[in-house]
Parts: sequence; structure tokens; C-alpha cells
Amino acid sequence: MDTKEYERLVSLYLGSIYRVALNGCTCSSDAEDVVQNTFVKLWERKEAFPDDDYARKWLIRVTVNECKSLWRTAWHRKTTYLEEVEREPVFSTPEKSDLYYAVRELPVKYRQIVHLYYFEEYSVKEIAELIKLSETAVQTRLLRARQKLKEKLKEAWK
Amino acid sequence: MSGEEYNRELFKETFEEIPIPEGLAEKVGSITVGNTKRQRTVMGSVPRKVAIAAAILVALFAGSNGIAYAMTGETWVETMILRRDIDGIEYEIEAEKRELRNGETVYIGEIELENGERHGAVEYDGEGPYMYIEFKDEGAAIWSNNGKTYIWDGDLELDISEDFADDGDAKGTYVVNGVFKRYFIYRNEEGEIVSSIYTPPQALWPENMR
Repeated sequence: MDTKEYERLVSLYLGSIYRVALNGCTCSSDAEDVVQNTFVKLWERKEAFPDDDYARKWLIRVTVNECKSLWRTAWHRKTTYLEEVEREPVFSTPEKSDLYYAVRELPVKYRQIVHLYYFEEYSVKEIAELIKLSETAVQTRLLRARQKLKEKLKEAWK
Repeated sequence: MSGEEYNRELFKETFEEIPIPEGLAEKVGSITVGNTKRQRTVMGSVPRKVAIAAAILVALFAGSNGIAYAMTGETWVETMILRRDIDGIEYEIEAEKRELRNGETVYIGEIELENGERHGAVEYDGEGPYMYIEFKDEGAAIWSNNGKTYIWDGDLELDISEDFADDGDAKGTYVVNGVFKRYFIYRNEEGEIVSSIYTPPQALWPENMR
């Protein structure tokens, strides 16, 4: 991939990919590692993308897989640095803050699907293709995630 | 606006407010100048919120092992086939031999249950009677804040600050939802904090809980 195209895709999708990674990892430092790995793969890619939508899907698929790869190293989760810190974002309204923490408390398997559905606006079918699950499994997880968010957020989640 | 439209709008606005971490754009940008080696993210010095721990299910090791060698990428990797019966279904887990930074070797594999709902990591030391299966969504967390250290496990929040010995290690037990668990925290030779939470086989539970 040439530098110009790489930089264009980074400027278009870095934020989006970081948020997907954040919802697929247990902490922001892991998410940053996942983002870097994803963009290394983008840089190393030889073929051009037919369009930006294809590129976005490709990047999200790689990000989801990188989150899983992080999981593959079992000892990764057993080792941590207490001096590392989790920076908590500050939101403009209490409703957004409540939603953020309610989403963060969801199991990763729900969180990722909820993010792809509500933020990236992918359909159940598209999510199933992206994360290699059946549509039924995606639908079930989405339903359970919504129920959990409703339990936590009450009236703030319709 | 329908309920779902409202939810989507709130969700998008919320996550759009999450800033991209300082320095991440530079790290990603530097990939084009030959820096394809990932830079491990080390965080700053604001109060610590979460340290991740493993919730490890200790599973009695079942079945036979077979050591094999598999070609992965450019190197040969020693693999072992581990077998484990879960809910009447026997799973074969192909585990790769890895050398840890402390010099220990372990076999690491993955297991995905047939319903696709649970995905876990498997760790085996290559010799002992147990292998460890860690399912992704059963994770408990050990975290420290303002000089206190806590375990979060489901609805349980347990202050374990008093459990630390002078050498900085801590170990103990607790019960959550009727399940007996052990935890330990120690600092290894490289100064890293290693923490684990696991459920021992029932035979090792206190007598009144078996």
C-alpha cells in the first residue's frame, strides 16, 4: 500500500478502529496494541480496496481477529503492571457516562456486537459475517445485551 | 424518534466523545517509515483503576497427550493434543509449546464450545495432572485504587488490601454464588504483578462446601 493511501485510510478510520478495539479488549492499552497491529496489517496489504466501505469492513474484521489473538495468549491476562493506569473518559452528560460504563460492564462478546450494531450501524447479517458467527447467535447476543443495558440504565435506555 | 433511534443516537454520541489516546496516531503513522514493530503501550501515572486477572477453571486433565510438531509460519512449533470432556462432549485441543519470559514452558491452546457461546484459552505445563481452562467471559478482576486492592467477581467486591504480606504477595480464598475460589498475587523476577483467580476441583474445596 502506498503511503498516501495508507495515511488517508488512517485519518478516515483510526477513531472508528480504536473504538471497535476498545469494545473488544479489557483495557485501553490492549486496545492501542490491537490498533497498531491492525494498521501494520493494512500497511503490509498489497491489494488495493475496491472502495472505502470495503476497507472499513476489512479493518474492522482484522481488529476483531486481533482482539481474539490477544486472547489466545493465555498468560497475557495473568500479567499486568500495577503502575499502568486506565484513563477514564469524561463525558458531556451523565446519561452518556452511564451508558459508557453500562456498556463497559457487558461481557466482551456482547459489547463488540452492540458497538458494531449501534455505532457502526451494521445489520445483524453483516455483523455475523464480520465476526464469523451465525445470525441467530448475533441476534441472541444483541437481545441479551439490550436487556442488560435496560436493567442498568432503566428509562435512559428505550 | 423511536426508542431504537434514540438509543442509537445516544450510543453514537457517547462513543464519539471517547478521545483517541495521545500518541496513538503518531505510532500508527510511524508504521510507514519501517516501524512495523508494535510499541507496547505503557500508561501514565493517574490513579490505577483496573488490573486484569485471570479467572482460571482448573480442569482435571483427561485423556492422552500426543506431542507433535506443526509448521506455523516459518518455524516448527511443538504441539500437544489435550483432551477434555465438557458436558459429555470430548474436545481435542491443539496446544502450542511456548517459552515464557521467566524461562518456564507452557502449552497454550484454544477451546470453543460447540454452541459457540464460550471461547476459552487452555494452558498446560506439559507434566502435571491439571490443565487450566480460562473462559473469556468468566473473568474476575483484581484492581487497586488509592492504596486499596479489590477483587471484583460478579456482584462481589472484596477488599483484599489486608491480605498482602510484607513481601508484597497476597493469597486467599472467597466464595461467590456458592463457588469456592482461590486467588494469588505476586511480583515475579521482572517486577511484573502476576495475579490469578481460579476455582479448584471440588475435591479441594472446604469440606462443608463439597
